[in-house]
Amino acid sequence: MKIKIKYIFLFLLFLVPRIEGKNSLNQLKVMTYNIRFGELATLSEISSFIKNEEPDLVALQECDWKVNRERAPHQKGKAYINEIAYYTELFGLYGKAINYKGGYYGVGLLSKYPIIKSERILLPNPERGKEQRALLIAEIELPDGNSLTFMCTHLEVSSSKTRQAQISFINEEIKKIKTPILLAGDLNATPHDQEIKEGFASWINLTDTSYTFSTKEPKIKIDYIYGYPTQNFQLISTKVHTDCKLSDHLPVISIIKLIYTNY
Amino acid sequence: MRFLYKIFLLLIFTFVSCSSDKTPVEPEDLGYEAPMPPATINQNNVFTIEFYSLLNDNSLFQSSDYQSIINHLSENITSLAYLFDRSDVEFGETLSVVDIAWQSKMNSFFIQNNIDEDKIEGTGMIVRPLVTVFEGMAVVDSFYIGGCALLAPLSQPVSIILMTCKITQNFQFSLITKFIGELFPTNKVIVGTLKNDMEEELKTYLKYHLKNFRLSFYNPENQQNTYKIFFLTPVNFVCRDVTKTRIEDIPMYECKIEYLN
Repeated sequence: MKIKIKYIFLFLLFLVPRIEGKNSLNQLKVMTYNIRFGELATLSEISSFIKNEEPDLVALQECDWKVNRERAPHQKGKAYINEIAYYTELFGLYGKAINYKGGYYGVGLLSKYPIIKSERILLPNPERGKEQRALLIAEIELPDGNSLTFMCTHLEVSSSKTRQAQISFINEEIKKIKTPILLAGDLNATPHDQEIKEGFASWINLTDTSYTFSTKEPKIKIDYIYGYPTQNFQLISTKVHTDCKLSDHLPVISIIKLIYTNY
Repeated sequence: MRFLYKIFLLLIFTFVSCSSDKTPVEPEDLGYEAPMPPATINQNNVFTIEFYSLLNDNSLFQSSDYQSIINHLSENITSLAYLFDRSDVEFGETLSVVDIAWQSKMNSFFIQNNIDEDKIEGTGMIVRPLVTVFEGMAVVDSFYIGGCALLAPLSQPVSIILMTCKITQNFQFSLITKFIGELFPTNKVIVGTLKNDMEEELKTYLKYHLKNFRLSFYNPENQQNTYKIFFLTPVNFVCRDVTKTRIEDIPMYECKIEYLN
């Protein structure tokens, strides 16, 4: 009997790593950062901060593209994402939201790994006079051969109704996507707001409740990283970098375990 | 009884002959042959793609010494796109295609061919306009194809999805046709590299598996080249000319493609 149990134990030992081996596991370091059109720092300083953190994926909001902005004269004519991608040695992707002062204004993302395909989608803007917002989507190939979709957005600032429409739209868009999804960005709403509570009910929150805005006096959380579907992600750790004063927002960095099941 | 037997045989014969008459004869599949393009070239409908490649299995850039290319791209603003075959990426190092794009004030994309822990082989694509859609397909460890939608400023603005891929094995043929679809969309232009000895195989495969297309090749004169450039376009495009030149030490192929409207 003792020998039999020994054999069963040995068999189980042999089996367990094989079962785990079917599910490939990855850890990703993901950052979201609203850089406030580079008003408070140079692109080189912002890039240095990002590069030192060695992220795999970065979502950036309020990015100019060849704009002549009075409030940031030192950034005149710069293509933010191209330049930050160069400094950080990452792949860069830009998503225009609006035309602005001779150039564009929008969001961008950086990836350590190559982008298979990407798309910039304009979000619904049902109320008059509100600024057009964009969703930037990139399918990324990870070193183990699995794919992940990374999304970056910056939602409407002053209207809960418009944000709700934008989040509903995102929830429809994700139905078309066959890979696990990470969405990161400035959602301009707090965790207590209805659009966040209801709109992201089927997502996993991969950040905590620490305040992200403003840098001078952090009083609210409006920057997030979410994962969908929930079973594909596990939050290992998350941090709001309160010592980083390169923008009016604080950068949020999470280490996320990616669990590939039979998705 | 004998009479009935004869009637029975007659009925059987009639049935067999009638049914054989109705059996449809499968027409022989002759495959697809593109019509000859017009002899005269409409220069107003010609756009240029610059294809930088060693046409072998080595990385295009041995160091970050590509200032001459940056200068060339900054001065030559007429080409629609610039492709850098094997502009490989090493993690933690400057990405050559991102660097060139940034310094020449353009936008870069990257289509991988092979990815491992510290290096990615692939083709960089640099374009002048901001791109909102980048299409692509990845069959892990097997085949990658990618490219972006561009507006070619011809006699009338023509929307083109310029794509690239590298073909090294014949099982990739079916992946290309799967990606394109049997009825070739009218605006996908693929400029890529193909192993030297696979030209006939690719021609034959596409002849029977794709329609409305043109396929042409640029055969390098140098025997050390292990790849050739191929042009797979819808029938309303044709590659008219490829001129080899050099930007310092880097071979560049200036590819002239005409839109046949």
